[in-house]
Amino acid sequence: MAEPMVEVFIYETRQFLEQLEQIALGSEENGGFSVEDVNEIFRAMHTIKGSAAMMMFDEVSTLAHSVEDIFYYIRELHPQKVDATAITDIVLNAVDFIRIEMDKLDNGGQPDMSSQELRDYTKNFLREMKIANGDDPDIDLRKAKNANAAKKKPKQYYIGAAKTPEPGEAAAGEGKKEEGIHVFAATVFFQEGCEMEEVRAFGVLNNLKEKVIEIHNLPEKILEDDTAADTIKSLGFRIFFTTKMNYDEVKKELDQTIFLEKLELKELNSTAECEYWPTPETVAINAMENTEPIRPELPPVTERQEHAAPPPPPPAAGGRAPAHHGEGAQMISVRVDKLDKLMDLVGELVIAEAMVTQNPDLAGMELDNFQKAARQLHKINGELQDSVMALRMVPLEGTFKKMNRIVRDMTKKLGKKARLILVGEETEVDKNINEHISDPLMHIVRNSIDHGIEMPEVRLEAGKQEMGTVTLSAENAGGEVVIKIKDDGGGLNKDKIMERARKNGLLTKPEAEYTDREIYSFIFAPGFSTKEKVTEFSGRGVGMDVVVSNIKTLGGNVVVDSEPGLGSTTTIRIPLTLAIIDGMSVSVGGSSFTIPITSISRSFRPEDGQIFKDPDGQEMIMVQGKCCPVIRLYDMYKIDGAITEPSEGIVLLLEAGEKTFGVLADKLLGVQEIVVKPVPQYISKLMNTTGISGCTLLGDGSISLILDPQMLHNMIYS
Amino acid sequence: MEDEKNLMEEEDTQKDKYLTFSLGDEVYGIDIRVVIEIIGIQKITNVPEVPDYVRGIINLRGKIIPVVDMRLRFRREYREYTDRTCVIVVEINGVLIGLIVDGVSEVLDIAEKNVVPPPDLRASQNKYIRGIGKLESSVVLLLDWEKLFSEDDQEILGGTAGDEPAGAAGGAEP
Repeated sequence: MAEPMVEVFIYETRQFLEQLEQIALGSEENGGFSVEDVNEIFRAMHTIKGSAAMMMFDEVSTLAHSVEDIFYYIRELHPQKVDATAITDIVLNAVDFIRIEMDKLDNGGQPDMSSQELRDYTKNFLREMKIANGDDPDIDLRKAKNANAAKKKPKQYYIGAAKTPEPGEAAAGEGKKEEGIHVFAATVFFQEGCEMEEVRAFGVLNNLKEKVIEIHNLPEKILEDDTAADTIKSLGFRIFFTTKMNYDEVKKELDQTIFLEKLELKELNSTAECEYWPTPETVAINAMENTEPIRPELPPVTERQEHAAPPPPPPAAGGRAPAHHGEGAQMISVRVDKLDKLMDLVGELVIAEAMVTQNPDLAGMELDNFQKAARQLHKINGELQDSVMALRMVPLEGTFKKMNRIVRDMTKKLGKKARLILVGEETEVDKNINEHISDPLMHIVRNSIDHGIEMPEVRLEAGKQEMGTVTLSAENAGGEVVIKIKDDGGGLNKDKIMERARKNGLLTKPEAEYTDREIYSFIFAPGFSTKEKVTEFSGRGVGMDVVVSNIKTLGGNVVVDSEPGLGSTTTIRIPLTLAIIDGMSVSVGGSSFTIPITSISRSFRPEDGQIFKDPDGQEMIMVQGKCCPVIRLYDMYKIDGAITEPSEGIVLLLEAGEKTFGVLADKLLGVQEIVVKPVPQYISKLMNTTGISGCTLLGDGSISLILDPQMLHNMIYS
Repeated sequence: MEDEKNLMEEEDTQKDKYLTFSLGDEVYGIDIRVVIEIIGIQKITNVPEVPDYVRGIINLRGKIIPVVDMRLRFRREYREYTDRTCVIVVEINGVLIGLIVDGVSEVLDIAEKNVVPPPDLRASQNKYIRGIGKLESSVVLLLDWEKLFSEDDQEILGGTAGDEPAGAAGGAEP
């Protein structure tokens, strides 16, 4: 099967899985499934089933089918006794299963795991639910539905392939045109390359379903026939139907089809003129053969379009649930590597611009017009860069919402009570960051619930609310995003952590010298756990060190604060974007270094004697009543020919987290937008911790090394 | 199919071809297949805390690549760079590296039958030489580039070599 098709399938299915998960969790929170929830889940499962069957992934398809059955039953017969939690579990289990299979598929494997167990469980569950509600477990839902429809006043009039037309109607279909009933033949051509033509055709049918009296289509079996897509591609999707709508109404209806390339619509005098108009017998046979009879009772048109069309790409990787969207056609989904390439190119452009406008050949020339043009170029480049950056920015919402699931699963298994509050989930970060932040967040939230939130009894005893709260918040602060995970649990036990740190040999200085934060940060050490018992979720001591390393790769940092009895707060700070930053370049001897402008608090030329040494020989400087250590860059990097007299050079005060320190350089070269490039692997493997986080090209084509204040700071204090 | 054939032929045309370069009096050969281009010496940015033979990084049309002084790599005396000094850019296992050599000579055909294994002197010596190519009047030392830049080697050397960047002469052992 064509690769792009699999890709579309995976993409769409993942969207639906996200949606399913959100609905399932939401409904549990609300204490039950609303009518819309049931419809949405039914629809999502139905679509997954359809497309999976089409892609011949039977295990996925049949599983989706069994879950769909439950919701079909609920929707049609409105049973009284519904175990919402159990159903949520079923949905979530199915979602998990399918998600794993999608991952496999994405990695080039085949979704070959058997869903038998889940399926059987689901079927049994449905059976038991039917019995519990006094229904015949072997009841045929479609018949029941019809019986029901006969009892109640049917809400909609429809005739579909699934239902054998009644004699009168059949006669009407075959006979002459009746009053107010029009016969149409339409051929729908989809845009080239829109993919999954058969599913889109299926969508067209669904759209028309309620509005027509009888409908037939060529090719006949859209979803079951492997060649259907090709036929539709070459000959178009042909439909013949009778309806009460007039020509214009029908045209309007069909024109709404997504990815519509061309529509040929003809009104006929009678059904006899149709090229294809099967008799009721053939319809019945088809319906029997058809493993997937088109259900005529699908919900209203506007919401249904997502059956056929891919949900518009939500900005986040499965961020916003694709629930309501009318403008699907105005969105496109783009492969991330294309965006990466674009970002790279913009980076090159920024460098190239600097190379032109700061070209040494121009030095000392009067170039008014050139400068004007250069400024214009700079402005446009800046806007271009912002736009490209914005393309890559996605809200944290999707990642945040995933945590709901973790909180739910864990509280359930651990017998705790906790809820998750999201604040500022609309905050946008670079896509790369969004992806890498997911795992760390998960570990921290898990830890908060497992170690932080107490058992309900303990909470009540302590005079707290029975229900614990974990707050996940995000906000922009300067060029950074600050993400906080706050719980109102018992807080961290300092003594216990210290004791374990002692046992693990992590202490590097006298115990009394450790600040609270330093003690708390031990929990991020590999293999560190104060838990006596390993639980399913945490306590193995694996995970929190992953948090730190993941966040470090993003150029961020993480700190923990805790208040015994009141809870703890983990704060993660990460840069908004990784690729292009404003940097201050400084020269040291013949070399140049670049420092992110956001971490420079001030720069000044120290006076004679302003720098003094502490007893350990560490140089210090007094700035605004605060004492800061000073590093001489030339000394640290063994550079010859640099200015050694502080009063002739310049000191830059850098902030690393909460700490401030100074570095001595020769002079400032200026602020420039720099494109961060990694240090070549060959070199980074040879380098130890050097405080250099990357390199960049300056306007004159020379290379400048980017200093990481956090790393520099760690070097001073190691 | 066609492509594959072409590729095969291309491989074949590059087989047994070596780019020769000089380091002092010796002539070395490197497999032409790994050579990307040859450029003149250009401004090198020093990088701290690396072995002395890693002179730093250069900007090759927007790509930042490390450069290694082959003289220092083979523990010879450091020599000032001149107009004749060249950087051979090679791609080894997907990584671009520049090799600073005294000068580039020519591309030679040396058939496998004219290559003899290096004399088995001491274990530590000659380990970067894959073989010695015999020519009519001279010999070419063929570099084993895989060994030269394999990771474990780097770690061993990274640990033992000094990290004084400039002017430091290694052991003058030939």
